[in-house]
Amino acid sequence: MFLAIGTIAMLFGCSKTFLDQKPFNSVVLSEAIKTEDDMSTALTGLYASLRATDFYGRTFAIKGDLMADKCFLSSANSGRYLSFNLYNFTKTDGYASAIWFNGYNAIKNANFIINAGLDPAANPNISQLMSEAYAIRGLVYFDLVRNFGLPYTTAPSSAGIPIVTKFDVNSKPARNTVAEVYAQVIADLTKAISLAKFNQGQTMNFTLTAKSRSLNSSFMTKYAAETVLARVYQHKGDWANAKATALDVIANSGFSLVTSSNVISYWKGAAPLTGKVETMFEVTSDANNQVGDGTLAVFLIGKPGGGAYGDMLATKSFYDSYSATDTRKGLISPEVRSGQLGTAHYVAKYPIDNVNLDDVKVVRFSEAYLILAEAYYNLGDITNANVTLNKFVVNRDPSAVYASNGAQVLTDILDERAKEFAFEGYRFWDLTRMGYTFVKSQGQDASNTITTKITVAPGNTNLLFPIPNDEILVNPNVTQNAGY
Amino acid sequence: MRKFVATLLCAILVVTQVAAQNKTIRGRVTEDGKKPLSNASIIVKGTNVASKTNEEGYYSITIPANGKVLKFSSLNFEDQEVNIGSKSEINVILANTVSELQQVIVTGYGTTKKATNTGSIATVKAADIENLPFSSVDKALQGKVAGLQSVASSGQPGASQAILIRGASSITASNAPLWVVDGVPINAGDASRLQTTGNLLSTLNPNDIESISVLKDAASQSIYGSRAANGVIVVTTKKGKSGKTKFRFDTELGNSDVAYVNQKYKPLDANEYINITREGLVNAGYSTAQINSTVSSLGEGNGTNFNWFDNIMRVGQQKQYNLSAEGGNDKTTFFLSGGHFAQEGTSINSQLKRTNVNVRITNKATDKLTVGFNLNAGNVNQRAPLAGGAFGNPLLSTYFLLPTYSAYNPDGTYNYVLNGGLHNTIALAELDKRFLRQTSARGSVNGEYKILDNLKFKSVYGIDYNGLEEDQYNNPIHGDGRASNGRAFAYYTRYFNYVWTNTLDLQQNITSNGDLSTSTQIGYEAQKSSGYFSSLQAQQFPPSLSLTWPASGASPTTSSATISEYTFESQFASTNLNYKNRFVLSGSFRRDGSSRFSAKNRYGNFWALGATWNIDREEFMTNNTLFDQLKLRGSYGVNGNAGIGNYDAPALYGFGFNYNQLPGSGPTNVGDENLTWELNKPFNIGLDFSILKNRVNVTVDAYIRKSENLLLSVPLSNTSGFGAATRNIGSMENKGIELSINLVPIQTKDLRWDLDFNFSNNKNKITSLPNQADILSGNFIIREGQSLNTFFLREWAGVDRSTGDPQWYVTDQHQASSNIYPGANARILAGQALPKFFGSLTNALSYKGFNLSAQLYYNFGNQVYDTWRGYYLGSGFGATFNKVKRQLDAWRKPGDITNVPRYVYNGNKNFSGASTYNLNDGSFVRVRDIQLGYTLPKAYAEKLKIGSANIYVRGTNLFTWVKDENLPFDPEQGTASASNLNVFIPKTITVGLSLAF
Repeated sequence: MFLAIGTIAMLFGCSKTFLDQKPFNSVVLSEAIKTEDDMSTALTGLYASLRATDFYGRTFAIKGDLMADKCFLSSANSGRYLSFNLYNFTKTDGYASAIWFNGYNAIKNANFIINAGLDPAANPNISQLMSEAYAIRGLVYFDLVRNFGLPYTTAPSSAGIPIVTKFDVNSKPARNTVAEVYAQVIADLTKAISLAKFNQGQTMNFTLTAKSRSLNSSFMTKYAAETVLARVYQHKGDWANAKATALDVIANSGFSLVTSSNVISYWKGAAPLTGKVETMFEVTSDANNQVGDGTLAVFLIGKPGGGAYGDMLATKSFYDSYSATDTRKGLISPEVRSGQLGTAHYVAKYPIDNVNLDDVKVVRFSEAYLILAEAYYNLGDITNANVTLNKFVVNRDPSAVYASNGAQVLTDILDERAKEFAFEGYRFWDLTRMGYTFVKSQGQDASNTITTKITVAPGNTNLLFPIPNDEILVNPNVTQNAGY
Repeated sequence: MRKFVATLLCAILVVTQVAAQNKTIRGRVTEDGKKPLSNASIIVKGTNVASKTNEEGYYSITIPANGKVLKFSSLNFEDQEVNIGSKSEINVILANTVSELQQVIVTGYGTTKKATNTGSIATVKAADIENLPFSSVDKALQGKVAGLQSVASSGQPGASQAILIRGASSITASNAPLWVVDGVPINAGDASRLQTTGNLLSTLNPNDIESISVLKDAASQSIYGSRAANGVIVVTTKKGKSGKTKFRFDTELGNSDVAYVNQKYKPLDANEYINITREGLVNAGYSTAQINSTVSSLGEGNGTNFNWFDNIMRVGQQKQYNLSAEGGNDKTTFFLSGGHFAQEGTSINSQLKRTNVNVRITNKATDKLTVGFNLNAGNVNQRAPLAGGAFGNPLLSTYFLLPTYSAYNPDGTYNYVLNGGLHNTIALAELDKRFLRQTSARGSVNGEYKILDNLKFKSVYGIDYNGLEEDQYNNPIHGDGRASNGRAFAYYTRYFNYVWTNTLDLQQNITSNGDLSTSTQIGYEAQKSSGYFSSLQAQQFPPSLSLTWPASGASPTTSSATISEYTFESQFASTNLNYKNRFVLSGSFRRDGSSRFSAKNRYGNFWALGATWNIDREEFMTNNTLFDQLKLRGSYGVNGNAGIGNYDAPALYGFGFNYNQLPGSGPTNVGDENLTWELNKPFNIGLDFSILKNRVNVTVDAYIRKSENLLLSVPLSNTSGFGAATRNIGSMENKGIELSINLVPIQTKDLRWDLDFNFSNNKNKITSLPNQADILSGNFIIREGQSLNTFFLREWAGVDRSTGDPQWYVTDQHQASSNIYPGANARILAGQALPKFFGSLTNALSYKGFNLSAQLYYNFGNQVYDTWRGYYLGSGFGATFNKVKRQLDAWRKPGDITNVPRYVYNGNKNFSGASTYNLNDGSFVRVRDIQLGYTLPKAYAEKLKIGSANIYVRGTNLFTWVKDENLPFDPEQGTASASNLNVFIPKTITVGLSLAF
């Protein structure tokens, strides 16, 4: 009998590797980034993480407009972003927690690249790849701190967000101050600029594998990072640095503005660019790599018969604020819509024929001009403010000329920013960093009059996202924002 | 060994004996004293003289001079030896080893007898699951077994069914029981990726099942140690019996309709909608001109009053045909069957068709060797609509589309312009497609070799194959495909799973008189399951409705394939010690390795101890006339759960994060080298007794099962970049009582009344969590001391009588209320999704050829969440979508007492927000099954040259009583107990015919 048992055990015992099953689409974490090619692949993954709907893919752009004074949700909506329109976030808001998660997910991806232990001084490719990782980390920290913390201009020492520069699965960090986070952002962007070796349109060649990497507008090249840095100085109210940075971008980047006759076709184009025209950095999608229906286009375009939601509409007064000669007026499409009182002013900025492929512009060359104009104004140089503004606006409305004085110049600049960056998520930040009180439209009547609205003043709880409740439950060191 | 020697000695003696005269013996072999056993073999032991029984079971055999003993045998029956002596007639009753479940219980890797069983095992017989209008056997188990909760969430034919045996044992890891079909552990559950629901078991025809054993406690489960934590369901398919080939034909035809409709939740008609919208516009402060233009734009006075509900609901057709043949001789038996099953759901675009075949062949190659083969293969073709909030969900359009918009234009073509950009799902039912074609094959070859009379070796080599093809097409003209000019998906999923099990069984008497005996089993098992997943999608289609495959799309957008595998390797042993069938002590041990854990932590040791005391066999009970059976059982053990992802343990950098047409990677899994088995420790004590000549049979079980080292998805600070990591932490407990009573109140020659009642109570409690911290998960809270799936919601405080405003309690203290939707801190524990108790009551009456039976299923103590309530009962929220009748009860003037707030166009405060208003009591009692049948008397049947004939009428889910009059939809809404506008659960009326010949 024992013989029989022994025989069974010997005959049927499987090989020792039977229980070693390896995953088919992963590698061991510690072995992931060992060469410049590995780093390039990891960096591509970092860019892909920006594409999420509740991140650069859609929600950042929607928040900046839906929570400001030029847009509202159609009464015939798909149920998305109601809390943005109503200003009634709760601490369990799904959008806020998704942004928090997506933000730190991207930061984690960047940290793995930055801390991989490859030497940028030894290899220009590694230097460039690390530059991009630093630039993205800086950008993400900046966007997180302005969403979850108070404006630097009003409360720099208030709670910002936790700074995490090294992966530690067990850490439960407290919130750093807004000023500390700004310092981190500026350090990251400055480091990115210093490490950058290639510009948009150039190609990197990897020696080991003979692969190449062409830098189109999908990637964060040096001057895109520098423009973001100018944006950070602008939000900080550091006008001297804002001016110097914006001037450097305009003078040395080699980028040009899209001209007025090309505005419509510029917005229709979906392919990443290499010609250094207007787009400095955009988060791109393609047929195989995209967020499905979670795009700006599907949310914004009203397509009778279905397929798109047409949820966020522009107010009629905003549409009317564009002069007839302003080519940007064509980016809003007034239509009749069943279930919506009045005219539905649909946003037509994002390509309609390839809705799943739309690219989200994150940094455009125009911004350098408008930051520069604002910096001149704040530094008391009204003349150059107007000169810069006019250099820009001629590319949108050839008949427009700005020649105001005093505070009106600032209004001109902010109005021009509203028109230029409409539906790209800028307006809310202009209003809040200025500390303005504004009227948020929520619905219109049959004659396009805004009938439901609320007044939003600094101090309104909903100006800040709540720190996600799930984070508070797990991480007792993090404090909640006031009012939640 | 002793026996062997004795036989040998016998043979020697026989040879040396003086030759006696030849004589002939006659007799009859039966199963039960009446039912003939044909083709049974009779041999004179020690000779090669043999004979067989005829059709009627009679035989005659001439005994040679040296003949002493006759050996009777037939496949699937126990051998019997009879001393010839001076007898001239020998009648024998052979005991069935297969189907007599009252005696033999199919367990893990073998069978046990009721007397020696130490565990808690419930069995379900073929008759209880045959010919039911259910697409899979798991649905048929509802109410059949104490302690087994089977709950549907969709009436879609082929939908998944959740089964919990003695509650939920895990928070993150699987709570599904292990299914074992003919000795092969199979993949069960929902493997679909594109469909809203699917069920691997839907390819298995319940009519092919002979018996189901549900293993509920440590003693019965632990031989499956590694995967027994959630119970084991052992399915045995039908085997043939030797004799004349018998055919059986079953058919059933019927109709199904929605089982539960609450008139308060029927959608409004055109007038009602326009009127309440006017009321809402006035309440919202609109001017008369604005009101008129608004209601006009919503279709006031356009003459259309389209009833979406009636046009989307339908009476579904139901039919099935099953044909089987069985037979064989004393060496070989076979069972063959084929079936066709077709069922339509209660709303458009919902159906399932199944075709399946089944074969089992058993051959007794020699006296010592039996070999067998079985294969059960089936294909289902399922069509299921979208569910939940999808615009293409027909159930959504039932409640959201306005009656002022028709599905059709006046010229009969489809109308594509509807309120809110919603889709015309009636058009889409024709223009779009969503299919799941699932093919499964489960089978094994097996051999059993009797090394010695008391030692046998058994080997089972089994496969379990599931292939799923899923197709979806969205046309370019209307609906989800419009934005991308048409799109089509083709997903292929394949699971292949093989298992090799080898066991050695030893029966041994310890004392020579057999008073103390032991049976021991040792075994080895290896299993590998590999999944293969290929996904593709294309868009930009030609403007045609007939080109529905991705091949016609210009732009491929998804093209991906990967695989995923796991392996298990196990050694096990079990033994029991039996003293005169009075005391039985059983023990088992199993060592399992799983590929899901790292090399240093992959093995787990599992064990169980069980004991039973058959009190009725004690000497002091010999004069007892009350108890026919009295048995006390107890067991305790440890088993394991590895129901997590295949690659959760290692820290990983994953790929597929592509961008700008380049491959990208990113950290995907935190990993934990120390990850190991989740432990489940069930303690069970049970009592079985039968009194009054077995007319009262009672089984009571009480259990506590503790889950420890939970494989818990522990939330991390998201600042780490990860949301959660799987860790062995936390514990949970289930406590409960189960009661099964079988009564035979009347038993006369012609009339018999059977009454079966079962009751199950289970109390789940989470006993520890990391840092005692709550974990929030949707509308649920996971909190120490509370049940899993406890709702956590803001508390509704009623309508303000003077203003009609909605009110909520401001804090979780149930004190002050306010018309301002409170913050998240005001949420309260609002009841649980899992029932406090459930069970069934079955009455069966038979009178001569007639039988009438009715099963009531009851479920009490859970809450059901109405997920989409805010839209159709939100007092104006989503104003351009239709509402339900209950909305007409809205507050209108001060003093009105109602629970529906004032209707305000575009919403009254945040009434639509989640609160306890969305909860309803889920208690219900349902007539699960009612059947009236007639069996043709044998005499008539013989005249018609058929073996037997039975006709019946059956109603399933015919009546549903619910405790809460405001329960909007069917009370069965899955284990999470939340409605999601799924296809409604049907009530079905069928007529059936069973013929045997």
